[in-house]
Amino acid sequence: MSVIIGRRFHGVIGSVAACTGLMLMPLIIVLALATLYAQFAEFSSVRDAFSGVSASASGLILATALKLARPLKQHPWQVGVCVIAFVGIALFRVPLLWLLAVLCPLSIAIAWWRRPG
Amino acid sequence: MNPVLIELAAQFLLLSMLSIGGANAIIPEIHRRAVDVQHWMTDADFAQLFALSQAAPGPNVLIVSLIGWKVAGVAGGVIAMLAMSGPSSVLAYAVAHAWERFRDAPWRIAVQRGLAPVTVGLILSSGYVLTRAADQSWMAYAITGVTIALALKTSWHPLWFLCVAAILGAAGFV
Repeated sequence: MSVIIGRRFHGVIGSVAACTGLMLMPLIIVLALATLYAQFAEFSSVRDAFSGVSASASGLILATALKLARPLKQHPWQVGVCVIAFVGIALFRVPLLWLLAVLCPLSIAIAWWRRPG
Repeated sequence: MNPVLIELAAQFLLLSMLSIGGANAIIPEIHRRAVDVQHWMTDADFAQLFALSQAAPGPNVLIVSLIGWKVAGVAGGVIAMLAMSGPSSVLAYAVAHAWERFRDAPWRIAVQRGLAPVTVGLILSSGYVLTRAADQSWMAYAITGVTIALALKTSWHPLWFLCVAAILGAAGFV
């Protein structure tokens, strides 16, 4: 996203600047936090706190997915594609490359075939 | 160069090209490679790193730098991040113009409509894989469930959920 916005304003330089601004500080912060975490991970309460955080963060991702899934209901075939992706990746742990190689062309073909007008 | 760093770079360069739908969509693949294939870490480690990446400010893709950090320290974190964002950034730069120009073209609409459900399926999978890795007690499942319900019904800032969950965890409830 930052690549595209940056490009709109200043071409390559804009893209690089936007990415650096958006990524560099968070990268430094998260690696500093990780180093700090490693120092304190021997205290079980630190690991326990992060166990709580990971349970809640998993819930946030699921909530995001459910919100995104709502508009799919207008097109039943999209629900089908979504279910196939879930079963393949989450339940059968198929390598992502294979799943995308099969499912993306198929799904785009259905979308093309059912295009309005 | 350290062979582990080369391996990290190779893994994430590949993943970078598969990352349609953003970082949240490729978590199952990162987990598959880091835990099941490469044996770089356990499920519990993965869940902890994910929690750390969510608690820190910044984009979701930061999980990648923490995987690299766990495997090969700070250098690993930086290499993983560069490998992950490099190719997809170049691709985004190259495609952005054409994508804008064909905004109303029927083929572009078909591509978007076709990819949307795949992406949603992948993000759902992320939630599932993370829940399986993270939740080791009924209390953890309860926290996940309550978070889903409240996140759907309210517009509270996500950090509130994480804070409360951290306190419950530190108090030994999870």
